Amino acid sequence: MKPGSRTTSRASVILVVYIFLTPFGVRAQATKCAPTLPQALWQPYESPPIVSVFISDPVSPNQPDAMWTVYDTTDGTAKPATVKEYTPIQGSNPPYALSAQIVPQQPLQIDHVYYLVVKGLIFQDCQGAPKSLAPVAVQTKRPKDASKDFVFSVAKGRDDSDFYFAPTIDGASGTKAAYTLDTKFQFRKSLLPPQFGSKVPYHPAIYFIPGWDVKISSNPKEDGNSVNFVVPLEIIAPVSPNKFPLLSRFLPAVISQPGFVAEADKKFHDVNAIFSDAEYFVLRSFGGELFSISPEPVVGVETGSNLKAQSAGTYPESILRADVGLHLGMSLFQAVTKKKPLFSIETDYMRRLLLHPEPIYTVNSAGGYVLQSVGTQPRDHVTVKINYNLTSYVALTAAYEWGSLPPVYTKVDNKYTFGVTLQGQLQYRPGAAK
Amino acid sequence: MQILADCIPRSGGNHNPVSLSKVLQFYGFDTQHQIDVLNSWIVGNADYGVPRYKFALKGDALNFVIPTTVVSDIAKAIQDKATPAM
Repeated sequence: MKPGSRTTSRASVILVVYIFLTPFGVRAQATKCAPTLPQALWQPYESPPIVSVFISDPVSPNQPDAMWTVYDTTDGTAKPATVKEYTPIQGSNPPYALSAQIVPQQPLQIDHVYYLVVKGLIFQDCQGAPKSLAPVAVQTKRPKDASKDFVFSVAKGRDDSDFYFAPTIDGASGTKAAYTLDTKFQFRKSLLPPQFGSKVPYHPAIYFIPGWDVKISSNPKEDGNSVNFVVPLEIIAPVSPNKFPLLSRFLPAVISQPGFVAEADKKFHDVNAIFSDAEYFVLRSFGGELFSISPEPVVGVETGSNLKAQSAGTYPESILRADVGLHLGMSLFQAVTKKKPLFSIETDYMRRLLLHPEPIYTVNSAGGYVLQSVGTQPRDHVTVKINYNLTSYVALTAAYEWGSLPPVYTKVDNKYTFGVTLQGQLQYRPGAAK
Repeated sequence: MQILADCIPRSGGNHNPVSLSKVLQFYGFDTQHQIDVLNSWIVGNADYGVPRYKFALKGDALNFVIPTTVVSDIAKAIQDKATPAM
């Protein structure tokens, strides 16, 4: 290697290290804590009647200098209020509080609009907190039938979306336009709420989550991914700390997902009807204030039959698969703010052990499937997703995929995806506005 | 607040002090399954969840929670949606 190229390589390494470490150092030090009062609720049934107010960041339960004021914007008055207590979190050491119980001079009237203001609140772990916080409106009545309100929020991405719809048209000079539809929908309905703990009979939570997960494309170069229509149940079985105190420390719950799946290739030339059951062992995450790692092993079984085959004789027996896999999530936080992760990495690995033979196809240049073999070789599939938050709203994303998926098992060979994401969170709460 | 401070570490999260302004990922909840377990503790645990305070939450009350949900939104939902247990 020439000396010049070695210097260039070293400079490149330094540049990369600088880019990725800047948020830990310079940017983290410049970021200041911005505590708020997220919610204040009038509770007239307490004795004495109080305003229960949330405080976003931990405060000491002893706040001799804090001054609370209730503004009545309906009649234009401002009256100081006393503090009943800063409710300490039980078991916290050193003790801290995240809420306060404020006693107004006069009971609040439900047809007035009130704001609560505080000055001089001292935060435990919050550098540069302002002396007075932004006023918070006091809810004088609970949202009407709040338990039925839908709340819409922007998801991190496709995986944690309940609905996703992304049609695209790709065109280039001299070629036909390609049409791709990437869509997903799932609906979650509780069938049985969970119950466990002391002196109550144990039963798990059961949810019904029907939906579909479809990616179809007229582009022959698109991957032959699965099309799944699923009718699953989700059974969340918390490991009861009363009965299994040691086990529950590292295995808080086991989640089962039995369900019927119709799996097909993107052209519906190969269709399988499958009953599947996956058992997810939800392990305790480990790490500290700067990072966390969450492993989640999964075992499962899939059985069923082929309804429509691409080629005759490719399913000599019924379909029977044993699945083993691992989901690994990791988050890395900025040194000071710790509010949002700087990095987050999600890895999924699944190995399908075929007990009965199934086909493997390749895709030719025209987009047609070509039978490669029929056998019981294990089929692997790996995805890695990396999210790097440049700011609170802008992130760089990268994804990697390798392996094959049923039913046609065409191989995705080291596919990389890079992107820039503009992300936010928008919540729709009809009740909160009342 | 006490419900979250009790349920977050016991349902699989870490022991970082609970702050309303942080996202659940900060407490080690990186996957939706971990969130499901946290919700189960809040809704169904008789010793540390909502039932401890003689209140009840419907099974769907916390369906909106994802790893990037801010803790204060869960606290608000508990306060808004919990009803006295029969």
